[in-house]
Parts: sequence; structure tokens; C-alpha cells
Amino acid sequence: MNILAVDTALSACSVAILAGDRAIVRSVAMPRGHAEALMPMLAGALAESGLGYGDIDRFVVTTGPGTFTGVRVGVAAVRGFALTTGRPAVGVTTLEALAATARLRPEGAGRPVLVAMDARRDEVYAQGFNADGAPLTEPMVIAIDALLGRIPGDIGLVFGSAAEAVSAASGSSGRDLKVLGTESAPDPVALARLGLDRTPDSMPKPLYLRAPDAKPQAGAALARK
Amino acid sequence: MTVGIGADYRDGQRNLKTASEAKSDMGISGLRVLGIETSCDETAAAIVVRDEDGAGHVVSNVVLSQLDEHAPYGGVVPEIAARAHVETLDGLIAQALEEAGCGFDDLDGIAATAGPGLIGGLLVGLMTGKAIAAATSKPFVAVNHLEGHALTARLTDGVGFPYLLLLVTGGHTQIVKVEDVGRYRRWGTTLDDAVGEAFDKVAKMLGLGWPGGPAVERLAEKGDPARFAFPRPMTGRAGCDFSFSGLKTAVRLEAQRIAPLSDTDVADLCASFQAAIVDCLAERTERALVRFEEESGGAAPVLVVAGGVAANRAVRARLDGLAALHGARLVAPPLKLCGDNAAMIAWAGCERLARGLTDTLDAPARARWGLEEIHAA
Repeated sequence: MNILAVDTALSACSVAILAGDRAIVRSVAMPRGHAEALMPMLAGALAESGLGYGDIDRFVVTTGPGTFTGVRVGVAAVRGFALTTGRPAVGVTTLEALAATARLRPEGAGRPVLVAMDARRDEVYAQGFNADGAPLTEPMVIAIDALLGRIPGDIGLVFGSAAEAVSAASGSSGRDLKVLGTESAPDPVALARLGLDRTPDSMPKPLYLRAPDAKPQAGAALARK
Repeated sequence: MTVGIGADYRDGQRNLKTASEAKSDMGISGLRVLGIETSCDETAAAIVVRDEDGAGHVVSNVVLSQLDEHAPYGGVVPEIAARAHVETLDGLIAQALEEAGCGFDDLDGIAATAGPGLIGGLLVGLMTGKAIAAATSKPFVAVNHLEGHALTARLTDGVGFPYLLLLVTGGHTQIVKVEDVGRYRRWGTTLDDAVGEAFDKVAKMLGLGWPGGPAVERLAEKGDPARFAFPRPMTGRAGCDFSFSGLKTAVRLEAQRIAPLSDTDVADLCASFQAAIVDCLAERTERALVRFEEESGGAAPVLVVAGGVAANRAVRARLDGLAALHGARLVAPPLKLCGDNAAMIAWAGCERLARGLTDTLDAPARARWGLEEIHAA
């Protein structure tokens, strides 16, 4: 089965193509510009693989949490590929993909992990996973202090762009979470392999974890008789 | 969510053909293009055919309005719009293809709005369009939304170049000399609010809900347009620029002065406000007509009015009179093609493809993108 995976949700623009036992990867760190970079990057990876879009059996994309715009760049592209080729697309959360990335580390293999990413506004995106990558908590957007009270006791490692902050804060709450890695984007091959294991059901949908910034208006109109 | 699909606008539209009719008309050199529009609060997809002789046909045109999602906020919330686009666009494209009776293989190109507009929404349409173009190896066109409005009269009425365009929407108020595909001379623009924005803001202060243009128009019909002497900003001045912020403030001050407002007060405020708007649009447009006549050696101009505000009957009636006075032909595309839609994007794609103008798949979305900045042949 040939897999094409896309991640534009965080601090990198990454693609991976799995074709048999080969993996072709492109990844560039970029805070913005994914919308411009993605298609040329995919064209390069496909050319190297010798495959065309019609040879892809499944598309995989990170669905967030991450930057709202970045998440939609990847999801819109992959839904477009799926619509055009008639092949399924599956969504993988960035938290799941980062947990899979953590398991690639020798010291992370076979151990539960907390994934924690900087979500700005003094909050983190976080989720705990067991040694096999199954979730131990729901995905959360949460302040670090509040997070510390919700981490399952058997987790001793933290991974992601907020790992150092969470580790530093864990001492004061009587926990000792060790930093496994501070990667801010998932490994694209790990992402593709996760997508391979999923059963495609519906089209990927973004996972924002935050509501849009908008407040209903009130009292704007003048008084009436 | 309100779903408005193309079916009901087939009535009485002479250029709309069935897919098979369009196909048989097309000949070998015709172009069939998928258009995608996500620049504001409508998610839209359409299939348009351009015959070899340049005639255009809307084969399918699907629009999903997000009005209900934004109404509680009194205006379009960009993040809400972008979230709706990404979950609905692919389904609308499938529907547009199905209604057109064709598949991706039958397309000659994919056109998506790349700007100007709300960046989050633009990116959804742009990336979806690029993905379809990449996966089908078909040409891609990154369309300027304003060019879509500007060229619609060629799709609906086969208007030839050059012509004068009055573009009146919720985001833009411009007078443009349309010289060719990609060649636009902007003669006037608004210095502050767009005309549709002025309608919405007045509706908001009078408690008429959002979007407010149709509500203001409805009440204006019952009101006295002479009761309040609102200013006509910019009229009498050289050039064709607009300004509506001072007019909106004048309405607010007058309304505050006489509040609490009776139904008659509200109707009279709407009528007097709309009369001022119509006077401004007419005076500025007349200057442009005179300049157009001078530049073209006295030839009778074609005046095209496009954009959502072109649906306003008082505006249309006044422009009709103005055109008659100058021996000009007024062309106003049908209402379904005046507001935001994807048929105009597909058509702009046809026009550009026919001239060999395509874009690469690294094309950016552009929140700001004036007509004069468009690449021509």
C-alpha cells in the first residue's frame, strides 16, 4: 500500500511517502508559508518515489491541535486529493503523531509519555499516552498548573515544545517528569505509519480544541418606541 | 445553515444550458473549468464552459451561505467562516460536478479565488483547488475575486472590451475601466467604508439585523427620502472616489437626536440614507461615464454594475436612468451572479486559460490584492 502523509499543523511543512519498504521524506521548519511550500514539496517527493497521485492508496494528514490556519492548509489539501482520486483520507492528531515520534527514541520506546505543546496564552496542548500509543487522557488545552493534576501516575516522560516548561513545573507539584524531547513537529514517517494502522471512516476534520474568538453583539441598536 | 443551490436560478437565464447542450456546443477548443470561492462567508463551487467563440455557459453553480452562523455576531467572523469552509467545500465541489454531469477528467482547468478576502477562508479554497489541479495534472488559475466580479458581464451578456464597471459590494466600492482580461484602470474607490458596509452599519444601529442591506431597502420603500437632508460625500469633487463614513455618522447622529425611534422614523431614516447613497453612486458614475466617452472618442459606453449592492432596486433604477441619459447600455448580471459565487471565479479562470494565463502551485493567498496588481498576458 502506498501512503502519502502531510503535516502543516505546527512549525514545519512535512510530507512522507511510504511505498513498500521505501520512505521518501521532505521536511522544512517554517512558522508560516505552508500554503506556498506544500505542493512543490509533494511534487518533489512524488518524483523521487516514481509515483503519481493516482498510485496513492491512502492519504494521511495531521488534524491539529496546532495553528488554525496551518491545520486547514493540510486538511483542505488532503481532502482535495481524496475527493479527486477517490482514495480514502485519514486524520491523525498532532498529539498522537508526536507521541509516535517520541516512541522512536530508544529511551521513549515501551514507556508511557505526556505530549505537551506550547499553545500560547499561557496554555499547552497536551495528552497522555501509554506505551503502545493508546490515549490515557483526552486531548486538552490547559494551563500547566492545572495539567499537572491530571497526568496519570505512571507517566514519567514529557515530549514536545512545552516539555521543558512542564518538566520544570512538575517538581513543585511532587511529580518528576523528565524531558524526552522538545520537538515541535512530528516525524512524518511516524505520522504516515499511524495513518496506515487506521481504518478510514469519514473525511479528516480539524481538531481545534479552542472556540473561535467571537462574542455575540448586544446593545448596538438605538432605542425604539 | 442555508443551502441555496443553482437549480432555482435556471429560470429565465438565457445563457444557462444543460451539461449535454454545453458539451455539444463546446467543440474541441472549448474550455470547461471548475471554480472555487471561499473568500468571505459563502462556500461555493461551479462548473462553467467557455466556447471557442468566447461565449460562456454556467453549467452548475452551488452556493452554501453561512449567514446563520454569523448573524448572532452582527457580521462575518473570519475564524467561523474558515472553519465552515474546510468542512463543506469538498462536498460542494462533488455536488457541482454531479449537477454538471461531469468528472474531474472532463475539466480543462481549476480556478480558485486567491484574494482579496479573509485569509483563513481563502487558504481553504486555494489549497483544495491546488490539490485537485495537482492530482489531475490540470492547469491551475489563482483568481482575483474582484476580477471575477469584473468579468461576469462577459459571461452573462457577452460584453466586449472596453467597458465601465461600477463594483459595489460589502467590501469594495470601485469604478473601473475594464480594458481587457488582466488590464484594469481603477478610476475611483472608497476612502473609508464600502457601500455595502455602510448599509450594514446603518441597519445595525437601527436594530435591523445582519446583513442589513435588504432590510434597509425594504423599509426605505415605505419611508420619506426627503425627511432628513443627509450629506452626499465627495459629490461635486473631481475624480471618482467615494466616502461613506461621514454619511453613516450623520445617520447615527440624527437617529440619536430623535430616539426613541418610531417605525416611521426608522423608515424615513432608511429612505433618506438610501437616497443619499444612490445620489453619491450616480454622481460619481456619471463623471466616469463622461471620462469614458472622452477617452473613447464619444462612443457609447457599456456600464456594468456588479456586486451584492447591485441587487438594490433603487440603485439599479437610478443607474438605468443615468445610462439612458448618456446613451449607454446598462448591464446588470442576474442577482445570483451579483453576490459572491463560484461561477464568476470559474469564468475568470476560463478567460485567463483561454489567454494561456495559468499559475503555479506555490501561488499565495492574498488578503489584499487590487485589480491593478493583476498579471496580464
